[in-house]
Amino acid sequence: MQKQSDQGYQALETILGDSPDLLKSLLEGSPDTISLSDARQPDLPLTYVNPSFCETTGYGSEEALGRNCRFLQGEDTNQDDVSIIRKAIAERLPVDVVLLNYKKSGEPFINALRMAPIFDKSGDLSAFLGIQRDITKERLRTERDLAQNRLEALGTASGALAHQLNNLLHPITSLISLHLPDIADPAIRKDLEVSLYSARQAADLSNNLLGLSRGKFHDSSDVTMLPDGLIRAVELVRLMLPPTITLETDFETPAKDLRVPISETLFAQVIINIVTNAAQATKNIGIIRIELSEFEDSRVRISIADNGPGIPKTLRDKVFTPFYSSKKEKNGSGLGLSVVLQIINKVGGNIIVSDGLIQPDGDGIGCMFTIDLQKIT
Amino acid sequence: MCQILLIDDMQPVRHAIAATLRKAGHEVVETDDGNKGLEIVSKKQFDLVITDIMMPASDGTDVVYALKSAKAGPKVIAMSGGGAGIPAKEALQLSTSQADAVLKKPFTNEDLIETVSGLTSN
Repeated sequence: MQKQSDQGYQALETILGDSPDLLKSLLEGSPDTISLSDARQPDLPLTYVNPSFCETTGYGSEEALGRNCRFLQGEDTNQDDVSIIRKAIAERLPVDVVLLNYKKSGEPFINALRMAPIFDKSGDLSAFLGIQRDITKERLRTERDLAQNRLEALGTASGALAHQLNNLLHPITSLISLHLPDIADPAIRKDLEVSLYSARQAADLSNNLLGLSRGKFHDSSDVTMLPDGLIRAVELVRLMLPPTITLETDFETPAKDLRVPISETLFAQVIINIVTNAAQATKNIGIIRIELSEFEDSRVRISIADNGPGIPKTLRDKVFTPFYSSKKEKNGSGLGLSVVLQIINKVGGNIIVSDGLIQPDGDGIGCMFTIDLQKIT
Repeated sequence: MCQILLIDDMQPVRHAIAATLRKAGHEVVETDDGNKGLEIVSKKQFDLVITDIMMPASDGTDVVYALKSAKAGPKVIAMSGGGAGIPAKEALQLSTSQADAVLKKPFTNEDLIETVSGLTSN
């Protein structure tokens, strides 16, 4: 009965009293990052970090001890999260917070932090205990799953819509083309030809929507045909962009029906993401050029170049790091570029950033994303 | 000239198909449901039955099976554009082995007339 009411703490204390090694074993063996800050010294310096702390952050204990834990914060750490911690420290209360921290290498990670005040036997505050976990991978996985779910919902909805549209368009194209030869007046014929053309364009569009939903149904095959899959993706993204954006394409390839090992839904989403980013970079008034080419016999390259302000060379790797943002793009409707890279990496591909098109004023150079994929032979 | 029964639940689509067939010189009876279609076939002789596959009241696949399991029945064309979540190919899968021809929606007037004359010319 005693055990139940104190959850075994008393037994633990007895063992701890007899075997001081236990505490050390617990701390050293913990996969979570554990740290202690001295509450009796000014600015709460770290007085203990466990091996997991060093492994996660890349800082050795000699680099960490004596410093306030805030050295893990960086450029994109949300200050609201930091004030939550400050408030809890001031009020001597435990707190759970998820915040962006940085490793010694500069790589950001999502840190799930639990901080709790530790009081000594006389009730005085002696330390703050920090238990932290790097949840970056889980976050990325969740983000990717959410994106995938959204895509599947979109695919299902657009598939259903496309079927309805096809049923509505069939009588239009069928009846106009049926009676067109009987119309004697050339002016009326011309008018009807225009409506027939529009109805056929609408049918093509509807079939593009079906292509997107088909990606879902054929996911098991995990193959996208090029250039067709790229043409469909570009037709779709064209609908999402303002008409002030100029899309140029060059899909001339020596071989038709190239196959790449990625489902069409994911492929379309990657293209849509990079192209809409490029459009935003040009403030929706620029040129985006999309090219498809083969190289080294076995690989396919898709390049998406814009004439926006470009990305400085030093920041080019950074656009792929999780949760990097150019500040304003906080609407979060698309996948982050980190997820785009993850999708492409997963199928054995790569994305590189280089110089794009010359800016309209001729002063600078925009940005180009090149997707490099293995061809299925 | 052939006697054709056309079964499709979407009235405008059915109207357009019937108009195309009539203009090509065929005589067409229209209905919007598979069970009604089978009843009509039992009372009147047809050279050809064209049926949609995915219909709310009855499944066109049943029509195809009922007609093709009877001796000396009419020729049958199954047509479908699939439905929400079901590609046309999948909707037509069961009928493909039984029907004399399949038409995947959307099809052109020319596709329709060619398929019909291919089945009824001799």
